Amino acid sequence: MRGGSDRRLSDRRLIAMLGMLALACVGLVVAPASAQEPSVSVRLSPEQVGLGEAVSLEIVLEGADPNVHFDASFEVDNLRVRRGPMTSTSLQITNGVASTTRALRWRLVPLEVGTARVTEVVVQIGDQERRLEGGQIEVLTEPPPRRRRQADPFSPFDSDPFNRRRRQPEPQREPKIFLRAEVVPANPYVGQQATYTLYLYTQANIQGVNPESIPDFNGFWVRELPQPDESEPDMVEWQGESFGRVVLLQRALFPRRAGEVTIEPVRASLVAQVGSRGFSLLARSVSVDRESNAVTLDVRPLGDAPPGFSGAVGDLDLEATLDPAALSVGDAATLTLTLSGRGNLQGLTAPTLPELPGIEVFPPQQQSDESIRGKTIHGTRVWRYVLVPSRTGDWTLPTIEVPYFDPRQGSFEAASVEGLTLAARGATRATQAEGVEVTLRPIRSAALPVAEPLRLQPYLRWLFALPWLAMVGLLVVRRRSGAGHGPAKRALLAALGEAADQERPRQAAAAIEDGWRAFLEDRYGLPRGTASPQWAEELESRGVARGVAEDLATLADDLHYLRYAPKLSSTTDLRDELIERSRRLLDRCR
Amino acid sequence: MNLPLRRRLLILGLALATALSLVAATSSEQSAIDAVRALEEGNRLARENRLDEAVDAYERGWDPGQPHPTLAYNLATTLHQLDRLPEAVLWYHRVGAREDAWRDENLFLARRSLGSQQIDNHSVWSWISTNGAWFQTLAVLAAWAALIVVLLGERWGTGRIVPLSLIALAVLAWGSVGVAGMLEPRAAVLLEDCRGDLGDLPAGTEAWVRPSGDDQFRVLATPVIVCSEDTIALVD
Repeated sequence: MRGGSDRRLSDRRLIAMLGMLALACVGLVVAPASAQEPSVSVRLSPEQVGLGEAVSLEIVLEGADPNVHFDASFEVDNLRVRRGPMTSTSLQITNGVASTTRALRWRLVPLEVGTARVTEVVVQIGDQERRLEGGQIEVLTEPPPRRRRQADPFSPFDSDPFNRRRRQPEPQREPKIFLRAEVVPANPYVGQQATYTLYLYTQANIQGVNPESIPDFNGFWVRELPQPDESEPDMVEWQGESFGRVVLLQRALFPRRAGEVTIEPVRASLVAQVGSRGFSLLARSVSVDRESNAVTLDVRPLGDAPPGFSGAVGDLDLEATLDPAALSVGDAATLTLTLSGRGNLQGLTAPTLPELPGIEVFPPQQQSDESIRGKTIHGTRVWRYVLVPSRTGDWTLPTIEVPYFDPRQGSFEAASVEGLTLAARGATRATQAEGVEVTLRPIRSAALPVAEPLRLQPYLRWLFALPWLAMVGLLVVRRRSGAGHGPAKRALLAALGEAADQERPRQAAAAIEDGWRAFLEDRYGLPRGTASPQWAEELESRGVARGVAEDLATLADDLHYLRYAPKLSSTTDLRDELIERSRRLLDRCR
Repeated sequence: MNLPLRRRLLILGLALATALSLVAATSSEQSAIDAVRALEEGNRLARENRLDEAVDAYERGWDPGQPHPTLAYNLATTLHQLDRLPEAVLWYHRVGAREDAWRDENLFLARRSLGSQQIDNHSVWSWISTNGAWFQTLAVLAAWAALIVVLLGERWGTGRIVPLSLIALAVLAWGSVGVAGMLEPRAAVLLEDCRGDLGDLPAGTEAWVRPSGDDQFRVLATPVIVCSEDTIALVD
């Protein structure tokens, strides 16, 4: 098991130490501090205890600077720490020289019969660390008889040979000492600082203060305030009497909710010096218990908060910087908003920046700091936003506001900044999505040596127009030269016209067939006497398309039928149909 | 010479084509010389860090009918250095469609700096117009093929289907480009912010537009935004 100072008791020790340092001045002449090396001792007593009895461990520091940090730890064997550490500080004046004695005390209980030890005592004195031997005791089954002080038969003062009547001690007058707690202001707003102060009023020298209970300050956000740096206590009048008054405890309280909140009283044991005033050698120490008053606060609500209010209460200012104010697209600028002033700025949310088209705003980094000026907490809240313009341009940032409640005005106010400008210019480097770094390429010193592709665009119109002109020209020339209708074709067309005028089918068929024979001879060199069944084969061999050749052969068969069919009563339709087929076939013959 | 009529016509057509090509090539060569001089002058001024004057020199050498990619690139880059990014984007586009890594990287930087948007257009007319040169080349080839078939078809016995098909193809290909030219949106770059009733577009936006009368262009975005002619520059 490891012993040591308990954090829970730090307030008590602090009060005790600071209180004593201040109180030591009351009515005393403070002598220069001893220049001797401080001494530390460890006492474990009594030497024999019974099971169930308490053991006292006391580590005493003498001759040290009263402000120096003093702490200790140790190991125990067959013992358990029941309570502690309790601290005490006393100031002794011997021959006009003042010395301070500080003690840490623990109450231990033995666990079983046998030897119990305290070992590995490590004492922290300021920056120094001292290791001391502990001690041991004997644990008995039954509590040992406590020895009375033996009378010294040789001492004339230890016996009362004259059996004279002992003088009764004079009734001890209770010294006028009391604790008083105050809170200013008594009716703060939610979130407004109220200062709690515990005063000790005394008309006696106080040698030690051992607080037994400290308020929990439930319902408040609490900050410790340092003790006033005063070498002399206040001399104040209280109900017609003079008192020395010193501050034992100060806290900055920030109410969390509206309504009545009560702060419990403080109880403390004090060691006061009473007796011959001004003659410390004749004075006696008495222990007194005191309890302060409870304090009730009437916390006022803030009322309807404006949008964006996140709990800032105090007297605040907002400052803003933008660095850099001019940058390249894709680079980052930092917008720093600093909200500062009297009040608790813990827990405030970052202001929401107005929308800035073309600027990407990243969530801010937050930083808080606070300082104590006198009895007032000053807070600083810093938000750093990263702004990255995604295009070139100039922006004037809209007004940025942080609403807060001003307790002095009793109303909501707004800390604001405006007029910040940001200019983004073209980027000369950037990273592509593939992670490739791109920088602005320079101008080319000469035309690219690569072959330019053939640009047909300027010539295409002419190139497109030429074949049409040629085709039109060809058509005109052909028309003029009659190339479009050769003599053979004209003869055939004439024969077809003649056939159309013929009433007799045989003459019509003969005219058509004769016209074709003449045409085929002229155009394809087919002898006129070629039998019509052979036309197809012969014409095909002369380059005529097969379809045309076969149609001509079929036409020849039909003409032969028209010519020699004996039973035809009316041949007009057949004749006309053959003439029409002939015209179509003529068009197909190239 | 006692050549057949068809052959004489064919020779005449080829001679005409050659002559026209020579005339066009001479004109093109003159334009190229001007562009090279402008390029050299602009480069000299740019090296002397007289960027505004370099821009003027480059612009003097620009012939829209005879685009000079390097001239356009240097002009775009100089504008980029002057932070005249919307104009730089326009000229990066005028470099042409061929691959150019430097142009692409600089265009990437300009786009990133502007934070502007590229509005795509997926109409068939845009596709035809984008590939207009190929369509026109196809039309030319089909027309010449038709002429050859008309001249020699009787000998080849190709009939009428082949020349008519070729003629139809030529007319269709050429005509589609012409129609697309009238109907298709034009590639453009906004040189200034365009504030329309239905929305705003920042300078540097690459968009497809159609003339909308009254010196205005309709930007084919969603919704359609009408911008004044002063704010828009056509790429071609």
